[in-house]
Amino acid sequence: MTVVVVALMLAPSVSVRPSDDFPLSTYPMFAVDRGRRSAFSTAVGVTDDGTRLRLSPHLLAGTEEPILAVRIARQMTNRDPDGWCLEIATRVARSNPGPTDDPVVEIEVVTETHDVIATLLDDAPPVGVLTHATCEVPGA
Amino acid sequence: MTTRLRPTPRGLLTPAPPERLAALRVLVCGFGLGYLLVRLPHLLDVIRLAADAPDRFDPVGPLLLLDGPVDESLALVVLLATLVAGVAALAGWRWRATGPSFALGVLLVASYRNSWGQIFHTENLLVLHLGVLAAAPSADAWSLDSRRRRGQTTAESDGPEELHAVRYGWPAQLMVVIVVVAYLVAGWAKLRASGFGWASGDALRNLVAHDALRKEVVGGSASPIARFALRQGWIFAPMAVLSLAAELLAPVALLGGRIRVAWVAVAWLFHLGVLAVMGIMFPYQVFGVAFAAFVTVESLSGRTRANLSRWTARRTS
Repeated sequence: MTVVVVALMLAPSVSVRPSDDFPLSTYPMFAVDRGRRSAFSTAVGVTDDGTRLRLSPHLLAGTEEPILAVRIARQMTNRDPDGWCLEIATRVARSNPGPTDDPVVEIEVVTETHDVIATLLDDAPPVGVLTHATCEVPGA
Repeated sequence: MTTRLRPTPRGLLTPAPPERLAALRVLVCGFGLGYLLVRLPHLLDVIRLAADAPDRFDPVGPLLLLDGPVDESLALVVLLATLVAGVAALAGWRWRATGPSFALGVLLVASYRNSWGQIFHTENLLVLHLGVLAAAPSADAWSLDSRRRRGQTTAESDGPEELHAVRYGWPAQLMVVIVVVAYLVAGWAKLRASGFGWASGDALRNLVAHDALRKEVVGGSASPIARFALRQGWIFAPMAVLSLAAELLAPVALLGGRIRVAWVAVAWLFHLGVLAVMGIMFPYQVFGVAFAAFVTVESLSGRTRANLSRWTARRTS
């Protein structure tokens, strides 16, 4: 049994094209050097005066789990940015206005490219922003 | 039974008392049950995704054959049944049925949670360890089953040879091997993807920054220590070397003795580091349950009893 279990655990890693799975994993999460420049899919809320606000994982993806929101943002930006924009706008409309924030009137689905070290350490702005979809928040 | 926690001896066919598997059953099932309860709000969110966003379903593991997410009510029934089986398995009640049921339930629930485009890697060892315990006589001590057996006149009596038997030893040793192989695979993944250059620390620094920022752009929060650590760029080279060494040298833990304890300590510190710098919690490892099979975990009960007796004696004197 031990040999079988060990063989099963090693199999995904020694294959020609290793692919991650569950519960037998290749544990690729910290393996690749992503470099300093990374692109992130997300959506931002825009207020009347043009201020761009970060939206919560719940508003973006219906979950409190940021990592799941990251993955959903990437999937939806690639698959259906317009549909995702409307989905977020509906959730924002339900929670608008926040207790202290100005109401969000518009959603933008974007890909932001950052020098990750510069952004975190020096608050550097993104080196590029690509807008995929824009939609209005209902009732705003 | 000794009250000192010691590293378990090396060798797959090492005999062990039934209390060792019982202690592992209590720890692993107890952890699994607590984990499901603590994560219940998140699991319910995931179950609701079936109605809200069925197109995001990307099945993994045993769910690969599914075309789409299962009905919300079916997912709820599986989750509740798993919780009920977990209580029974923890108590060692009808283990031959409830042990495998709980192991299968956790596998299905965790697979479903991991089937929405993100594999989390936090439940892998828990699921594999539950599978081993389910296939073993893990409720022959400290269980309702063993109490019932003792009460039955026709019960099979445990002879002296049963006190320390290989059948109680090998599952615990297999749990050790599973942990070791998992870390080895993780180290191998780094070498395969980035080579020994990963140990320079640049890749790790970029990863920490990438992880912090990806959370912030979706409105989450990064570890408060991440920015501080990123400013001290020099720390990433020794951290990378230690991480890679802990993973690639994991098999030394199979040698037993102090080296086994030393490796467990390094692996545990590695997870504390990941938690502090990246805010990523591997609860099964951080709470030490993943490493319980590396030591004579059954002696914890003796230690607890001894401490309780001392405490009671002090209070009454």
